[in-house]
Amino acid sequence: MGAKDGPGKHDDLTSSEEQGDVPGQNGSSDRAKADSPTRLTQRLKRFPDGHPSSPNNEDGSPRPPVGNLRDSESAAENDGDEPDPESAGDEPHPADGAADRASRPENTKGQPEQPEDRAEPAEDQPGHAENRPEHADDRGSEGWRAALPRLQALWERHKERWPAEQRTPVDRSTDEPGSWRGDAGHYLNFEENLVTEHALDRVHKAEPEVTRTMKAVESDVPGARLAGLDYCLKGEDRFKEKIAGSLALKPERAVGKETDAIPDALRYTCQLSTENYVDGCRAAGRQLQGHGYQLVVSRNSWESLDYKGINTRWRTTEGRVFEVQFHTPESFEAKQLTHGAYERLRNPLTDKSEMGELRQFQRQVTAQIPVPDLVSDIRNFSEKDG
Amino acid sequence: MQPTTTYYALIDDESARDRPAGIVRRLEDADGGFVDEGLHRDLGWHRTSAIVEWERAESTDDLIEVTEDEANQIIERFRARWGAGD
Repeated sequence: MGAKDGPGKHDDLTSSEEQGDVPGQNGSSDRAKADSPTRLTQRLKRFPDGHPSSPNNEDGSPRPPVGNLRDSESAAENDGDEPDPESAGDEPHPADGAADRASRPENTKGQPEQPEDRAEPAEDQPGHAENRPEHADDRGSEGWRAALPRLQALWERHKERWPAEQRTPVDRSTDEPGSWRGDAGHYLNFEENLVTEHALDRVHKAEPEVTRTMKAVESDVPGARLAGLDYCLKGEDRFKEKIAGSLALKPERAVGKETDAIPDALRYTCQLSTENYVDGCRAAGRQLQGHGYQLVVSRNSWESLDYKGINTRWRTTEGRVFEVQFHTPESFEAKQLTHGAYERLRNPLTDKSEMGELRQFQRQVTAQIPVPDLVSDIRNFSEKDG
Repeated sequence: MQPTTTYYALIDDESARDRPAGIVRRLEDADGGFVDEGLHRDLGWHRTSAIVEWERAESTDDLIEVTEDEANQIIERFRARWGAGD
């Protein structure tokens, strides 16, 4: 899966060898300049009409925002979360991906697929024209942009070929009071449900401080951008579903251990340009260490066929584990484009033939993501392995 | 492509390859279609999203591919423990 399977050095993500990322010195102002929508728009206009990165067609007419995945896919920021119709004012869209449950709960209501609860606002999408980061060498990004319409069309065709099925509502009539059952049938008894809710409460209490730290990291690491920050907390149903699924596979584990082990109940996405990705990951890692946080796991998936990015887990000084995903704009966009496919892959009712096609689609998208130079230098790390 | 079954040992903080916390498998058809299953306490195989989540780096636990012989040994150990009602 990872770039390298063996345990990496602890300092691979947090080494102090990199240049130009001294906390508080050169981050905020540069980043503010780089992220200025006005500047980005101006620079995009410098491309000749018809250029893949130009906002204009060859005839000079304005293009619609390319890669605004809201037009064709769930705007999901974090995989693995349930839908929340109240989040971010999201409007249901017929083309939105399935909700992040193993089931497709929206279909129990006969509704179109809904965006999930950590969905990022449309204007904040990395594919949105004004949010496209500027690349010194835009060739990789050009290839991605050129491939996007075809990939989006592939997904549309898939949904036409495999329309979301209707589901019978789950029968909860015989469940014990205080228990929980998800739409895919995942079940927590009263005690398990109570422990899980308490764990989620602790995550919510820890969130403000971790978010402050992540914002500080964003300010201090040149080019870093926290994507979907408003949706860093995992939804309650999705959290419970994950716990129930884990307990089903590991029945000898105590529910309390499982609830404390899930890092992505609190998740942040740090987006860095492809050119600055490796240095930015390391700088962010050092920043987190500087705040007293401890690296628990770092998993480099840039060689994976199914997903590209680096997912890390950290432990706060209070012992709370959370996740930070490092993405380029393209890998983040790919994650969003494939979110609906991922949801269907997770669905226990998905037909096995469709499973194969979903995997194929996911891999087609992933194969188009430009890979940052030297990214394999960031090795996997597990605290457990030392 | 022949139909295949690939087994994975489920490894968490308290387990290792030779004493995994659970076991999952992927049953893949010749045409590329597949289903993923995990062994539950009832000793039955049930659909699971664990492999898909792991492939997308969404899994808390690690999966390590094991041979069919290793898988059978793991399954037998769970059968002995869970079948005895532990």
